[in-house]
Amino acid sequence: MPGKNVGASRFADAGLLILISLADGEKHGYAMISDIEEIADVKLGPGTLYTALARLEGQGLIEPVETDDRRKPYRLTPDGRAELSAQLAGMEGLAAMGQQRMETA
Amino acid sequence: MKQFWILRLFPRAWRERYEEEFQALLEDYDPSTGDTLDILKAAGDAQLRYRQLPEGLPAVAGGESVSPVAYRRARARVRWLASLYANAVLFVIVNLMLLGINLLTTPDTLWFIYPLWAWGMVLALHASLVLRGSRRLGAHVALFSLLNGGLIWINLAYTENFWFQWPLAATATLLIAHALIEFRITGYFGAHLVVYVLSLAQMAATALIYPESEYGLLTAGIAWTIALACHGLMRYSSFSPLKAHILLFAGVNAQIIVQNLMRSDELWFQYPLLVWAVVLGAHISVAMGSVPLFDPGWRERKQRELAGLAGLDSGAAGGVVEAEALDAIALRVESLRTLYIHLFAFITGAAAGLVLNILTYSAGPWALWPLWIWGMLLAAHAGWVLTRRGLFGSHLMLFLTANAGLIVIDLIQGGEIWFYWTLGATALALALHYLFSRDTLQAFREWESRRIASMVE
Repeated sequence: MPGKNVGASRFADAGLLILISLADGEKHGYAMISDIEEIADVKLGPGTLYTALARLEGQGLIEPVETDDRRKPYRLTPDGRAELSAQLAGMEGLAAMGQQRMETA
Repeated sequence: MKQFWILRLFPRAWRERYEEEFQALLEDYDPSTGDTLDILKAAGDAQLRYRQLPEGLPAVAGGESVSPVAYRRARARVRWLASLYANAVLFVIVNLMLLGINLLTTPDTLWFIYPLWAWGMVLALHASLVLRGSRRLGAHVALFSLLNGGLIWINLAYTENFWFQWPLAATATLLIAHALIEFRITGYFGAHLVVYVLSLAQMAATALIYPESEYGLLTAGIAWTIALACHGLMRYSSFSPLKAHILLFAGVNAQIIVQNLMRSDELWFQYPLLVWAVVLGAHISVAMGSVPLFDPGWRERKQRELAGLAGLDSGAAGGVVEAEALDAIALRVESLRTLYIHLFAFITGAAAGLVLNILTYSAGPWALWPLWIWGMLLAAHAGWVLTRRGLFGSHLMLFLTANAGLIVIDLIQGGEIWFYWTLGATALALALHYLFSRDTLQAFREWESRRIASMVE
């Protein structure tokens, strides 16, 4: 399946998955759960989702979008975007390092 | 809109922020059993981590926020009032229900009057603790009327001799003293003097009706006279409370011993002597400064300790925020001190009760009963001060201590086990309190804010 990355997502925490899910635009809770299930084959429970959302909001990485709908969408803040890009770069470096060691062994 | 009971497990701060959207999510989602566990875990997590939102002080009186101390005092006052109103509303509802059940099931026996009477007295006592000024006097009049009305009825219905006049006269005397002080007709000593004269008149009347009780009344009359004299020495010369207490102890016990030796073959003077000696011992240890709690420096030390824990330097001249935080700590220390004084009084009372129980061991361990009841009140007080959940904390502690005692009684009694009835009923009441408390009733919180605002203005 395109875009699916089952192996890595098993080790990713809910916070990172949410940041990745919001990278292409704002989403509300149910959309995030469906999206994360789609891209990473991880089904976040509603409790886990909101525990992570509250933590990310507290850290200033995401923010709610003003709306009249009860389903409140969230989006990345500039800090959140920078954090996600740093984390992904770190993971990329780690992956490259792992690959390199596998090849030389 | 579907209500999810599970949301009540989240702390109030969390719910104010996320409840609506979380509920919307659950409606889309139709949670499974696994999700329920996931939500329970999130509730536990939120209880641990999502509690201390900055509790904004409400802006009152034209947008100015009030000092935290005035705010907290007003808040405590409003919550006390709320507990009384809740009690009164429950009193009406439950007793109407009982009346209905009574009339529908056993219209020949009107038993609803017993819980009505007992609860009525509890309600009047509650009101007398919460209300101030002439309203408190009103609560005492209600308590007086209910108590004596019930006793007169019991007396006339069930016993041959008249005895209702004794509690009636004693409580009437106390009520008169209260009214004198409340309306500032006299001070404490003046009220004592009035009560003294009234009691002597009562004793004289009793001696005329029952000549055989003459000597007992004489003993009581002399004891009363010594008590009045000691109070007078405190009021009009520089007698310290401890000196007055020692004088009272010596005088009253000396004449009890004389009366005992002269009038009776059996020795009983040691009972009041030893019990009182324990209480006097506690008073002496307080006055000598051997109980740190009553030390003049205790408050300050405790405040420094709490300020240190909160990362505040109480010595340095801090900003407004620090000063307000220190004010809040001072209030906290006051409520802790009240609790510790209560604990000290309980320990003293327990020691006195156990001494008396050991002397009268043939009657069994009777002192455990009053100590259990006092222990429940102490636990409720501790629940109020220590758990920071206010009335629910109090009720939780009452629930635990009352049922622990009832289970012990049930097991000692043997025979049929019944404790699960009281356990179940009180657990249900406690659960209802948890579900319908300040944390969950938006209307109540609004009422509370309005009352606090009108009080601090």
